[in-house]
Amino acid sequence: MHPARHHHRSSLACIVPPDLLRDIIRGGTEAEREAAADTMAVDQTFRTLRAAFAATTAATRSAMRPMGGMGGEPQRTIYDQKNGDAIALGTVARTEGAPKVRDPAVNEAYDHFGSTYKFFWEVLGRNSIDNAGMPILGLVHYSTNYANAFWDGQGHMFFGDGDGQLFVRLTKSLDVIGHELTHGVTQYEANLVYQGQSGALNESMSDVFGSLAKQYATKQTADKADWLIGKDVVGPTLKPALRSMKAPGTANKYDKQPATMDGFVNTAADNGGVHINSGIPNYAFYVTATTLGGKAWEKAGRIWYDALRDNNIKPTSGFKAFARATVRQAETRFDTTSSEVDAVRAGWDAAKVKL
Amino acid sequence: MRLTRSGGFAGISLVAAVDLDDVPEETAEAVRAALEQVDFSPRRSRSRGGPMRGAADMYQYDLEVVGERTRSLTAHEPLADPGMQALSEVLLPLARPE
Repeated sequence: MHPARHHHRSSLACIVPPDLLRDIIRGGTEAEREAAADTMAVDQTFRTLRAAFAATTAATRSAMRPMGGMGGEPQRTIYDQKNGDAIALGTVARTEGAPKVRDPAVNEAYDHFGSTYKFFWEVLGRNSIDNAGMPILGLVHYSTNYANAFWDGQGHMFFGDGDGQLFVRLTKSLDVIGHELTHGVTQYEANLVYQGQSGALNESMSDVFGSLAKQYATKQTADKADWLIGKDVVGPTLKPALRSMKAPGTANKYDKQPATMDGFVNTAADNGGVHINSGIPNYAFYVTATTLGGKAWEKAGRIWYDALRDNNIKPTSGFKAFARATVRQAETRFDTTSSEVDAVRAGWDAAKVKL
Repeated sequence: MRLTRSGGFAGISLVAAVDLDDVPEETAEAVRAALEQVDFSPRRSRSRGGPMRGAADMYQYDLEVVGERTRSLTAHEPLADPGMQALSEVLLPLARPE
């Protein structure tokens, strides 16, 4: 009956903030009012569903867990894949609370998961990947000469031993392990689609919180941090680091990351350049954090985390929607005229993302 | 023909661009054998379309074979197509970062 209206509604749902929807409901034409009201209803339903889903999942999980889950204690298990290509869980190599083993990859994964859990818990009050004490499962020695690490979308993080050229053993790096675990956090929050801008935003979340987990563990202030990703695991080809949040595009000779929207790369590779264009929101975070000074996790990290959990951030949200969410969250937590809000605006301005 | 492996945690693209007339006969044979197995039909859902739901940092593979008619496909890790598995085993060692 109203094909045009349907189309209108789905685009509204993605990009229009509720304030504007409320304005339209108050002041728009009858058709606009109807569409806006529908959008708000859909958003509300989405929010209610998400909350209900989170509550049930949390209840089921804590009922199943012997510890009950007050939070504060990770539940880690590290599996040895013995250089096989199978994605099924390998041999259990270390469980929560068990002593160190001989294999350094197992201990590195265990320890860095511990640091990442501690960062999310102590700084952001988050209890693991799903904020309900989800077990942390790491699979090490995956495949042969495998120069990669990934999150499989189903609660497992895989780590290769590296090929000696691009990377050495990937478990050595806290920011890599933090990066992978954060993909899980993002999936349970905004669930950003791994394609194009929302995918690059998803990538940036992982670099931001992976980097913060490392800065928190070493108690490094924003001005002292190197803002590099993968420095501890790059091989000769990618030396000295994989990515730089401070100066995207300069980390190694293959680094093609832009720092600003002027350099945004349109490509079909890499799911639409998710690891390329993440340089833009990474740079916005770096500028915000260094403008504020001090410990990056205290203010900038908190604002970014609040934005990731903002109800206006949808799976398809892009840079602009996220930038606006950070401003909104900074205004809510601090003040509309605060230096924190100014710093957030300065960050996105430097990255040339229009608010 | 050209096989690109992009994405992964690093986001570095590895590209193997080969002309079967210019590579050792052994390699050319292995590539032809693998290519025969590759399913270029647009509806192999496991290896087409996007990556696994919720997954991140897994590899993307883009294959383009130029011939009488040009054929291409995009697939994601883990490769479900045995032809693509065989092809990447032969070609990735020849690939260079781009």
